[in-house]
Amino acid sequence: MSEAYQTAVDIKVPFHDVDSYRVVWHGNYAKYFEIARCQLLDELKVDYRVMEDIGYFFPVVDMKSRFIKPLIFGQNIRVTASLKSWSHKLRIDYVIADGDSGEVSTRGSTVQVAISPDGVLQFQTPQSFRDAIAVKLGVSCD
Amino acid sequence: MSMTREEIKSAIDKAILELFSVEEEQLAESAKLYEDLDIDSIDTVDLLLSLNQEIEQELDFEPEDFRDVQTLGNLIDVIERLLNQGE
Repeated sequence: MSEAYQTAVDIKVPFHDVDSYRVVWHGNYAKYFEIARCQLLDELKVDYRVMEDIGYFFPVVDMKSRFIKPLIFGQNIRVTASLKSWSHKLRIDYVIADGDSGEVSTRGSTVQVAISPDGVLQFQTPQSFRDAIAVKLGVSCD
Repeated sequence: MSMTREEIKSAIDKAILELFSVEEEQLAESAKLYEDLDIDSIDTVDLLLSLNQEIEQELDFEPEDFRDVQTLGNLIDVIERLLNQGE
C-alpha cells in the first residue's frame, strides 16, 4: 500500500519518557505517533479542530506497534507519518528511525473512524473531510 | 446492477471469509455478527468497504440503515434494499 501523503517530525527523547530499564516506556510511543499524526493532519488542513467543525470526532479505534529496537534518553529520532487511506477510515502508518543513522526502531499504525457527536459510527468519512484531503492532494479519493 | 439474495449472500460471505477468522459453516443467515462471528462495529467499516468492491458498486452506507442489523440475514436484507433503491 503506497502512501498518499507523508510528513516527519524530529524529537529528542526526553528523560521523563524513559522507564527503569532506561529505554522509552512502550506507552510513550503512542505520544510520538500522536505528535507526527497532528503534524500530518495540520499539513493536510484537516486537524482535529477542522474535524469537529465538520461535525465529527475521529477517535483512534485501532493501534499497532512493533518495537524493533529500543529508544534511549537523549536520542534524536525522526517519526514519519504516512497517510494510507481516508475514504472509510483514516489509516496512518508510522516509522520511528534514529535521527542520525536512519536505523528503523519502530513501526506502527493507527486507525480512526468518524463518530457523530451522539456517538454513531459512520461507515464512510464525511464527504467534506474527503473533499478537503482530495483538494490538498489533487486527487479524487483513495 | 441487479443481484439475487443468493448472490448478495455469496458476496458478503466471501468478504467475511477474506477479512475475518470465520469458518464457512458459521455463515448461516441466523448467525449474529457480534456474538457468533466476532465482527464488531469497527470491523463492519472494513466489511462494507470490501463488499462494495465485491459487488462492484459504490453504495452509500448510512448508519441508520444498519441500526437494527444483528444477524447476517439482517445485513443481506439491508444490502438487498439498498441495491433495489439504486435501480
